Amino acid sequence: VTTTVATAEGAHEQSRARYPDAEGFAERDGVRTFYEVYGEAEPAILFLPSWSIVHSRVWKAQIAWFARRHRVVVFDPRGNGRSDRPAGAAAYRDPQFVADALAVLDAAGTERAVVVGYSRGARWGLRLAAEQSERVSALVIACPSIALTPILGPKTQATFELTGRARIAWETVISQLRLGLTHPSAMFSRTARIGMRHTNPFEAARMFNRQRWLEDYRGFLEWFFGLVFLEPHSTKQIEDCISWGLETTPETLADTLAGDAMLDRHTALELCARVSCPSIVISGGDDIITPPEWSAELARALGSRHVSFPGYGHSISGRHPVAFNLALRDFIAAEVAG
Amino acid sequence: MSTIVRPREASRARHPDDEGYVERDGVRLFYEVFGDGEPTVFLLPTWSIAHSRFWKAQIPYLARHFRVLTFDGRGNGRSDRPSEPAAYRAREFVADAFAVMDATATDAAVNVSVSAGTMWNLGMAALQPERVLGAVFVGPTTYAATDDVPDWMHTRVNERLDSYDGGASSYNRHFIREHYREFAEYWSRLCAPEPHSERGIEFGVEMALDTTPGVIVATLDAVGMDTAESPAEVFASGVNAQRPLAAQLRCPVLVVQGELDLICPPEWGRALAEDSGGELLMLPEAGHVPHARKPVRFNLALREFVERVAARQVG
Repeated sequence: VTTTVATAEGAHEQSRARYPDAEGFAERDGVRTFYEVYGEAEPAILFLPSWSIVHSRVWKAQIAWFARRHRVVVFDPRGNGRSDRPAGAAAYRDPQFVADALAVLDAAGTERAVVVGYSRGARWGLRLAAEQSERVSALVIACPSIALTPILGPKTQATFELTGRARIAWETVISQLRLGLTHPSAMFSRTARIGMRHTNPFEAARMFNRQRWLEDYRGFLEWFFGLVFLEPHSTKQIEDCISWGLETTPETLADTLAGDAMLDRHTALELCARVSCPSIVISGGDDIITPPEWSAELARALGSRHVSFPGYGHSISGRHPVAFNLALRDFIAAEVAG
Repeated sequence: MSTIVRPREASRARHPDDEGYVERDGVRLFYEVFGDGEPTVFLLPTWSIAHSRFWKAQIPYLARHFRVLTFDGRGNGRSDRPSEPAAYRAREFVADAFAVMDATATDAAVNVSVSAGTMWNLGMAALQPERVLGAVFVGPTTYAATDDVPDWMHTRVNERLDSYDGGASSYNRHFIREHYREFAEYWSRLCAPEPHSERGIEFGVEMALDTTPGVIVATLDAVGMDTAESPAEVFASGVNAQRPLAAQLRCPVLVVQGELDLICPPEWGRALAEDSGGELLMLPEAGHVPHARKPVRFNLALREFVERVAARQVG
């Protein structure tokens, strides 16, 4: 008897450990958001999207395990996956994603949920917990894209739209700065030191450029996800993320960047003060995208516990799912009534 | 308040319920037992370039359903490393395996082998068939003449070469002795051609570095490599006499073979399944160590096979 195991239909489509029990679209102002529901037990968990550079499969190492004990709700962010890709920066400001999350909870018949926000999604989770407290039973924040202290170095948006000779001039300036750099104080921070091992602070300003994305979008994705996953043995995660990134376009991603705004300190502290549910902040000690210092400050502002994993980068849920899942499970068991 | 979670050294998903040494002719062998289900699944050693942790993706899963027995083959892990080639003949590994079964009060088991372990698995079934409930072979070394013999079998294994290309010529006693780490990397890469195998390759090298090039050369000479032109000659000469033994197997047999196997080509697995009348599970995207690189698929198939063997025993 010979059994040949067929590969999943379609040579490269990946199979899933668990398929959704329900799926659908939540529509808001003509924009359709695709969501999935797995499992049914309370309390429900809503895993927010992170950035439209990826979509809800970024949670694939959480879904199957948590769905055994919880109703798990995930959705594709506007701009990627099976959700619509509206044009223009205005469609990608934080309140749009927050409203999408509420529309998904409504469509999925979910009154309250433990809300998990990762990276940019941390801002949406924070807003939900502060502004819609009756819908959020607990807040979990991982690698938050929230800086309570000013960020050193050039802001990515400032040079994003440079083209032609101006862009060449800017890149020349960067090169000269690199060569001339001696001992600027920023270089002494732990995050900067880790970052310098892999790239340099000015490389980001060169890579975050609309023209560059249009010329070589894949090259940008490879560079970016190489920094997200600094750990050895990450080739599969990097490959996954690049393929998800290629499901959208550089034009759409540029809209999400133009629409992005880091929370200012005042607003962030105000939101933190309004959060009344239990919360936890989880960070990677070697994260150079959202340094762990940001998590420590945010945890202080929230009055919550901060769990930091040394040696982990910007994707704890994707690269260290067992550690992440156990931390999340323990938090829910300790803080959220069943 | 920040809690720092310290990363641990290679921890285990499950630790043994029992462990110990059994001594045979002055050679100590380290074994571990996990779980207490029925029947016992005996995860056999392979070539002494690896040790029993190469079953790490099987042990915790199987131990939930069965009793799992494993040991470090002589020459690696926590077992002794005798130096003379005669200590590494197949019959010694077979006798070691029975000694481990005796020491752990294991009357019979489903045997599982990978690659070179084929010889011990076949030998056990030939010598004490009543103790072998079923036999599972992964990437077996049952040489079958094919048009497409892998490169590593054609190397001049005993000749000192002026230069080594980093490829097949690495399978050479002088290269192994003088560039052991490079050899370990070459072999480990050959085992796992699948994408995203970096961790597995690294672990293969770690296991190889747990023994010495002297032990590895002794294992080659134990099968007559010292007097042969090439590995192909050793295998083709029938020194290992594996296929006739396969034809005598009376227990249920499962052969798991990777189609991308660069060490033991798919034809060899197919030949063993045909010789033994066993089942063949051909995995299209797997190399020489599908248990390590495709553990979910492998474990499900193995569990299903063991359950069928167990039902047969009861029925």
